[in-house]
Amino acid sequence: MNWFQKNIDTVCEKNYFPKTVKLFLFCLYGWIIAHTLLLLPKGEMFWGPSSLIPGMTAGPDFVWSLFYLLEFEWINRFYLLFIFGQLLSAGICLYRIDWRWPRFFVLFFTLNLDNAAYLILDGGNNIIQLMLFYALLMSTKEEDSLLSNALSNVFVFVARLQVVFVYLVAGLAKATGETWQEGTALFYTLSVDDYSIPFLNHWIIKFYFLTVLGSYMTVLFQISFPWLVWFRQTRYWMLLAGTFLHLQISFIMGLLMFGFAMVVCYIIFNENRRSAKILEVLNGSGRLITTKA
Amino acid sequence: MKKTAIVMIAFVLGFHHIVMEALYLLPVNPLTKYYHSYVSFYMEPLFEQHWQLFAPEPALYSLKFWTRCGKGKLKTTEWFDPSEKYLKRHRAWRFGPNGKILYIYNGIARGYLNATIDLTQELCKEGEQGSKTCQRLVRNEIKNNRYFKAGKSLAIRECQDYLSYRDNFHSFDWVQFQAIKIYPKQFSEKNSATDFGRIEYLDSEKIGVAGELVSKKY
Repeated sequence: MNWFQKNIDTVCEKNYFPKTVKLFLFCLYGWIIAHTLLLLPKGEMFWGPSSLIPGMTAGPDFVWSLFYLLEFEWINRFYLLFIFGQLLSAGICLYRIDWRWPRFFVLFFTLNLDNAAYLILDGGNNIIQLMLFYALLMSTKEEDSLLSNALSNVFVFVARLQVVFVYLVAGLAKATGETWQEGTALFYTLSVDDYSIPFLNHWIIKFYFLTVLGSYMTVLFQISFPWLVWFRQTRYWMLLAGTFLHLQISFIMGLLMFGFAMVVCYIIFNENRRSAKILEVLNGSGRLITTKA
Repeated sequence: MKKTAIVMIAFVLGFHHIVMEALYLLPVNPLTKYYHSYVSFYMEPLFEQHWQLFAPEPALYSLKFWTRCGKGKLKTTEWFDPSEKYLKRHRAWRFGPNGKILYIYNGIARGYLNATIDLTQELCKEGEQGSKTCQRLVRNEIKNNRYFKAGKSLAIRECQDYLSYRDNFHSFDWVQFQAIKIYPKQFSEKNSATDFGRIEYLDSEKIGVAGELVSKKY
């Protein structure tokens, strides 16, 4: 019982990751703003009344229609309000990172916009949606109420586990995939028009052994991440390798925001004191963060 | 006591979510039928995890939406790729909406392709799926499909744009589109002179439109 009581006290008396959560939320809502601003010049094509993205065959269940409001024609005309609402509430989150209520609005507007433009979503949108939900339960305060501390500590762990699950499923599926086992997966992907850059095609053929190596390294990374990320000695190497992999996906394959989304998710693995140092550096520069918490 | 209750609430919420997620992500197994309905009810739609998040199989082909249009039997454009300009812009500058615009063309082509395959399996008996009767049945039914309708609207829009730069083609009364899969060269043929491997495509019928007039851009 002493052991049990000790652990109860451990979980709820203190928030162990306030700085990590702060840095993570800053990057999360920054991603949301960057993603929407990137699409805004052609917003009509994605969300507007003349968008060519087909609507749902049947209306959503009543319970979930709150997140499919742009399916209704008379609401869809005001899609810009949803964009404005999302950007405004994400901006408030950045300015007052400790406030929780704007996070609900970010989630609400993001789900509505994403459900309306479902054809353009990729894995980055998927994982960010999940993180937006977990963010509702995270706290940036060093000492908060018992319930808030407990929920924040637990859901930081849940968010970490979410990333681990992604790599576990992806890694296991890849390990049994024919092209990954043959080492030709990267060769084929980088030969596909939509995921390549023309000047690279020549180099892919000339230095094809690099694509073989890259294929095996990708599988090795994804199957080892779920285990090695939990140990301090190997964590940052895994995160570094992952950052390199995902930035390659962003710039070479063109899945820009997907790569950045995964890098944002890595922040949740940071130790609190490391996040505190990063925030100190950013605050010291006076340029990037003006958040109050 | 209060602390214990609070931690139990947090723990139950977190543990429940983790277990649901693990079950959701497990491959189909003999126990799936026992937990599937509750797990799906909990996980979807808020925590749905699309397969593209895991990307288990690499992209093995380009999927394109091509279109053409014509007036009667005498005038027909060549097949053209309306998304080509967006691909060029996306390659030149990654920081823009062009990459996501490509998803729309890609998604409509994929939706049309998948709908055709589903209808073929639904309406035609095995062994008859390549027959003309089957094709006719599918072509009649596909007209109600949302991806077909989106494809038609997209084809009309793209033809209007395409013809606005032509000086001997002022209107069109039909459009046609195709979902085209372009496979890269096989690894074993990487040093060959060809630019790509095989091509597979699925045409729509020629779709009549109400004599669309084109306004010139020059």
